[in-house]
Amino acid sequence: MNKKEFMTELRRMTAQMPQEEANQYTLYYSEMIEDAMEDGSSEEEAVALLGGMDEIAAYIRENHSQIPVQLQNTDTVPRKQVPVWAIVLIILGFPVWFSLLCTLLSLYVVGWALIVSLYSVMISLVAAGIVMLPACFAAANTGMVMLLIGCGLFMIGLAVMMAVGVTVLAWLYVRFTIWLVRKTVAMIGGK
Amino acid sequence: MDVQLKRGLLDVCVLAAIKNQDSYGYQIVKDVRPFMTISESTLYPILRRLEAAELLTVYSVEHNGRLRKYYHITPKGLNRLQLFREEWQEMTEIYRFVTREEQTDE
Repeated sequence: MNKKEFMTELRRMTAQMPQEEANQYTLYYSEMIEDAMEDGSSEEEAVALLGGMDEIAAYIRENHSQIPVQLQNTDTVPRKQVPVWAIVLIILGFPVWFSLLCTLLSLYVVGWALIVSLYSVMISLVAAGIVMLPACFAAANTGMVMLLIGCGLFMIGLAVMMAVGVTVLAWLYVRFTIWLVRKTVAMIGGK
Repeated sequence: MDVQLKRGLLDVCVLAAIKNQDSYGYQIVKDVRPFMTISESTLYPILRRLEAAELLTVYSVEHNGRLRKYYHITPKGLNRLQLFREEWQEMTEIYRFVTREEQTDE
């Protein structure tokens, strides 16, 4: 294999890497071949000195993921590369994913609205029950008094029972919200 | 030889190769090869690792109409070599302890 063939093969192997990192490999091996040739090796010998292509591929696979991409004398943090097709897909799919997102968001808001309305029903039941109790003093006959007290107590009792259920529901919904936020953060951060 | 131990020794050997004079990849391989198995492909990650750890710095020099990268040891790198000397002292003591039994048996 001559230098040109070797370099083509090397570029093919490093094609998946960030540009900067791939260039470092190209520069490094190119320099090695040139130096070996200056030292008296023929071009073919110089390439052979580097070891087989399989061996080099194995080293690159083993190492390139762990080595931070570093420019000379500068501390550049390797950036996460978003492939072009992903960006295109995000832009083209906007009408679809945006409406889907809106739907999910409104469903989530509906959940809270339901909880809030259940609480208001509860409050009105308690209020109505409390108002009914003193109203019995103004009642015309004993039947009416019994009815008012009965209804009032029934409403307050119902509200207390509801309070337990709805509070549990609200608590579960808060737990769900926390879980959702965590998942979202992990998904965005972990990419 | 144990992989971890070998890796640590290779780091030290590469630093030793540039200790007295800045050197370049091909020369480093040539200098280290008589003592340890090293190839151009194994040297690459070592150089990158040492550079990332600031034990050496890299600069390019024009040579015969092309660029050649030279590696220069930093004070931190020299410190690493000094540390190796001290570690080796401990190693020889451990060696004595490990081989002591054989000697008393004889």
